Amino acid sequence: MTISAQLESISSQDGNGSVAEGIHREVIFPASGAGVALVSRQLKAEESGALIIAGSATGSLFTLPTPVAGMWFEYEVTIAASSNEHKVITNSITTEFLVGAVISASATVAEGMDCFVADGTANAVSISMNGTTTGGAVGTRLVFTAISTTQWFVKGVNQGSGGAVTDPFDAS
Amino acid sequence: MTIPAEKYELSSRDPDGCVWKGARREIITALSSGLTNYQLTPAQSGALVVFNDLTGALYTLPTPVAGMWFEFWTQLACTSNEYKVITKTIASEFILGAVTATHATVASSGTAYPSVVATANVSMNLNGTTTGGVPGDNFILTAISTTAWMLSGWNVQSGSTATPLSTS
Repeated sequence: MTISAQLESISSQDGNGSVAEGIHREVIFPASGAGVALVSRQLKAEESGALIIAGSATGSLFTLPTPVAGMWFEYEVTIAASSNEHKVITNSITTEFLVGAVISASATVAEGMDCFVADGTANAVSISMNGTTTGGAVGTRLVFTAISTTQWFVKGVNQGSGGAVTDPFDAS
Repeated sequence: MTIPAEKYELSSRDPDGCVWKGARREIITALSSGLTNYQLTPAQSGALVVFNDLTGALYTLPTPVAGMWFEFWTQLACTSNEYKVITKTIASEFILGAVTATHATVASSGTAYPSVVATANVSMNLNGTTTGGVPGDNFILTAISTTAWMLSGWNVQSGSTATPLSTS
């Protein structure tokens, strides 16, 4: 059997588009094991569109799937990491990169906002948030959208505290 | 007739996922004016609620079920009352998260207003100036449990700055 590369469409195929009233999101909220602390939770293609919750004080680690244009994941922090960090990383760090920018603001520093850029190269394969200066405080919201087989477009608001905000993007 | 608690699923269940072509949002506008409450429903989850009334508006969220979400956007600042979004049962349904606040009239501004624990704040209140609700203001509330709405977004303010979150 040949597997079609074309994804199945849930659209009505009407030329005017379609609306899904009352649509709910899939919510991925690991309480233990994969996705908590240093144990990676491998996100799947079939989970595209889900809301990922980083909700452990011991941090979290989510690995994006191999990007296919159009996939997207939304990521939010409900509890800041007080140990380890909240981290999202590409599946293959030698060939899959983050491109985009996040706005970081601090709840404890007045006029403490800054913008950090992911340049779409090996300099940016992960975003790592320590719960304070690199962000990842409660309310952090990021969106990762695959725009090709090698790049994830990242945007969002990264909430920091405890001092001047610093760059959360990393090469590893 | 028994209504199943399970939601109809739009996915094809193909492990590669599926694509929703021509996707459109429901837009909710002018269903509330001033202090007149409009009760949002589960059937409206995913909608964009537009604030565009000079006398403000009042929207009440439905009882949260994980995965529901509503987005709010200010088109026109109110000049009386406020734009308010409140949970349905304030004794047991709370808002958790943060908004990043910026001044439309102050350069190099910017701060964050967090609601760190899901046991206190129950509403967003945008007065058109200090607590936000200036055009461009945009935030999302997503239900992550039966008691918590996750808040994230931008709060555009003018004048001095203050939190839009409230316990009532």
